[in-house]
Amino acid sequence: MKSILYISSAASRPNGAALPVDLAKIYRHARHHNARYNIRGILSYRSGYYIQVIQGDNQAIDNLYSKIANDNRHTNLEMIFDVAISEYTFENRSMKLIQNTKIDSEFNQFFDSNRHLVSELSYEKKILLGKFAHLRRSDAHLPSSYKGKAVKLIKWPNYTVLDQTTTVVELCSLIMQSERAYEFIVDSELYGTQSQINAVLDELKNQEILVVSDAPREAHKTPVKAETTPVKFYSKMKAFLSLRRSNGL
Amino acid sequence: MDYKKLAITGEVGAGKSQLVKTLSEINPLETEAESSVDIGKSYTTVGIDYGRINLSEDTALGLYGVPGQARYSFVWEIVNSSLWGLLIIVRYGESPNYENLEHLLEFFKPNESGTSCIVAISHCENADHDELRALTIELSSILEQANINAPILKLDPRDKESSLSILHMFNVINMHSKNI
Repeated sequence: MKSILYISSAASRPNGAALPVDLAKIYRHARHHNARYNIRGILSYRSGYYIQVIQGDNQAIDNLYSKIANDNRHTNLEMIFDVAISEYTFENRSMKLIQNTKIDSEFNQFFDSNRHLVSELSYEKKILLGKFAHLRRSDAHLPSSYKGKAVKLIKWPNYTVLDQTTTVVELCSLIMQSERAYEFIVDSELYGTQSQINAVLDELKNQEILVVSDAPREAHKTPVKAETTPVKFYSKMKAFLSLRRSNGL
Repeated sequence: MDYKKLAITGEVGAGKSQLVKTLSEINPLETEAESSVDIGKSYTTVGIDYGRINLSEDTALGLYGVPGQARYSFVWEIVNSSLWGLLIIVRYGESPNYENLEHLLEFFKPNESGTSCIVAISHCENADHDELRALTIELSSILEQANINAPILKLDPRDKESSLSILHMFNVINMHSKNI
């Protein structure tokens, strides 16, 4: 058995933008293909680059890698690792899509087991690899608590991987407006239980849209922004939605 | 009369007409014709779907389902004023049409005009978790490339609660951007 890790660039659109065109289709095909040939692996995309790890029988992996290399949806393929293995690293799944490899425990476990190979890589390959992995063990992400911290959202999230409830939407809106102390959010009892809040914040961190910083004293005391005058469109829409929901739609 | 518009766009079969039907308080105006090619349904919209929600005696939201293809940009002109929000519906299981999306975002320019924008994924009730995430990564990249800050949501346009959650999200975004 062997394991191959490669990194490639997303092909550019006619307007010059490098985008992960057909990523969902690629993932769907990879999942079905790999299941047929007992191949396991991971796939991730970040800022114009793909990373993929494929593991399985030597011949099956070489055949697959050859096909991947000829796919015109990416360019500048760089083989990073090609190593013999005695067992699969990744759970029994033919292809796992990872949002953020730097905080994925399975990927980090795989990378740690091959960390000794990093020093043999060229400078250019190290730069590529550094987009997806902590090259220095000391930089590796440690599980962190939000206690004593303030949180701020810098972009609206992908809600499809969160509970798309009013509570979650209101929480995201709150920390989009301004930085909030974690304790303020929990103590308000408006945004779910502490573990529910933590789960939301963890996913927002996974999406790399959450800024966590040391909470200044003021962040504990900042009140929720008061609503503006009631005759505005916003207030009328809010009243309309409340009425529809309370009437059971 | 305080009247605003919600532009609902997306590819054929994404669920634009259904969403207008679900939300509208009036019988929606639909402009359909028999499909000449197999698109998974017998009829398709050939113009605009129109619906309306009355928020009060003097406040209303017009719902405008408009085609997402670039060749219908003359239709986009009709809705591109007093815009409360731009909703782009993408159907799970189909690759996004990058060219149409780029034209759409170039036309409406939500990042410059301050129009709130949401991307909603339909037909995803039984979606594979990772495949759905892969689709959202594609969509996030398109939005980032266009410098647009928009949430991505799941939507069942047949379901009232799901459809109302879209209005709720627009209201939240507008409050945040002070577009109220």
